[in-house]
Amino acid sequence: MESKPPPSAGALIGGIAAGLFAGGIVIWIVTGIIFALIFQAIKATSSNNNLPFILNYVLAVGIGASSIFLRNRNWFMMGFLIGACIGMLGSTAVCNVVVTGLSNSH
Amino acid sequence: MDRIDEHLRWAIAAPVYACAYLVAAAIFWWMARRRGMLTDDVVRIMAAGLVGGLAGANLLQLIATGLPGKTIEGGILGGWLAVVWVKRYLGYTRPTGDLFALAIPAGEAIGRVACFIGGCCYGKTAGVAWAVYDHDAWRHPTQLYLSLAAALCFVVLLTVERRGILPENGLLYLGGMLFCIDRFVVEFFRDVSVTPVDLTLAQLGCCLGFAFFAWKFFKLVAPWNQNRLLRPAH
Repeated sequence: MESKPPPSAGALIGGIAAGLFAGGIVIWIVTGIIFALIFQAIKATSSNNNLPFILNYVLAVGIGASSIFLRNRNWFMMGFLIGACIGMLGSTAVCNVVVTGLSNSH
Repeated sequence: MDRIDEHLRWAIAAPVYACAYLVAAAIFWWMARRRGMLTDDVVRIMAAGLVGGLAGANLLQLIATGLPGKTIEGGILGGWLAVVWVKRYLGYTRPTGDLFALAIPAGEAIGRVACFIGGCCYGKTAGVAWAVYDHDAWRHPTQLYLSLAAALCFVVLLTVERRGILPENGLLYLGGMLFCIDRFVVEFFRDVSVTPVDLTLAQLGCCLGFAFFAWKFFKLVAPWNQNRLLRPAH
């Protein structure tokens, strides 16, 4: 029986680094805009509440948890999902700035 | 101006936090290879530890203070629960605690430097020669105390690991005890409110944590434990 090669450290660490950047900046801005539009639509403001944080917390944990269930040995993608989760949970300020700024602008 | 300073500090601290996670992951990887455990399942268990740890850190902070942020106690608890659950899901039975034992203090040693840069977790006002000016006063640099303690803990655990004197999971329980001791002591220098028993919430958590890890450690190395000196060959 052919044995599997060991997991690739380079691909995983590279994926985490890329995911950290994406999760820390890009995903926050995108989700921040989406949440801001929702807040605008329902005439709610994000000031003085933790709603954006909680919504993004659930999203980040979901993204991170999905990495555990990848079955195709795609180590870069696994690292990317872990990094995105870390980046999102680590940079709440970016999302809060975007959501607060946009949802309070109406 | 203060607001800009705060954002600038966090902008500098963020890559240091990222570095802490990467170093912790790399040390986990090194330990897994050293123990001959580097398989697909173990990488998934590492992912569960990271994600569960972060989720727990954020959730406990939100529950305890009502504000976004992170607490390392929640991180350890969340990581532990996630790893236990994923191991059951994967049907993986070999102990994996030692793989996290060195990664946690290494990550904390770097992460606390990021706390120092970012300005969170600061100490009480102090007149010591090494006090730092933060939050409008001269204070104990408690973030650096914790960083130093974590680095020391890492060195102790690495020495024990190299000597191979503990059975599997022994390193995790020893590391847990050391963490609880150093956090308990440093809490006396941190600027946090105390409970009616004159201890902070974290100190009470450390007392419980120390009792738990000490009990697990004692059970592992007790003379009547037939497997106490057994460790699978590398």
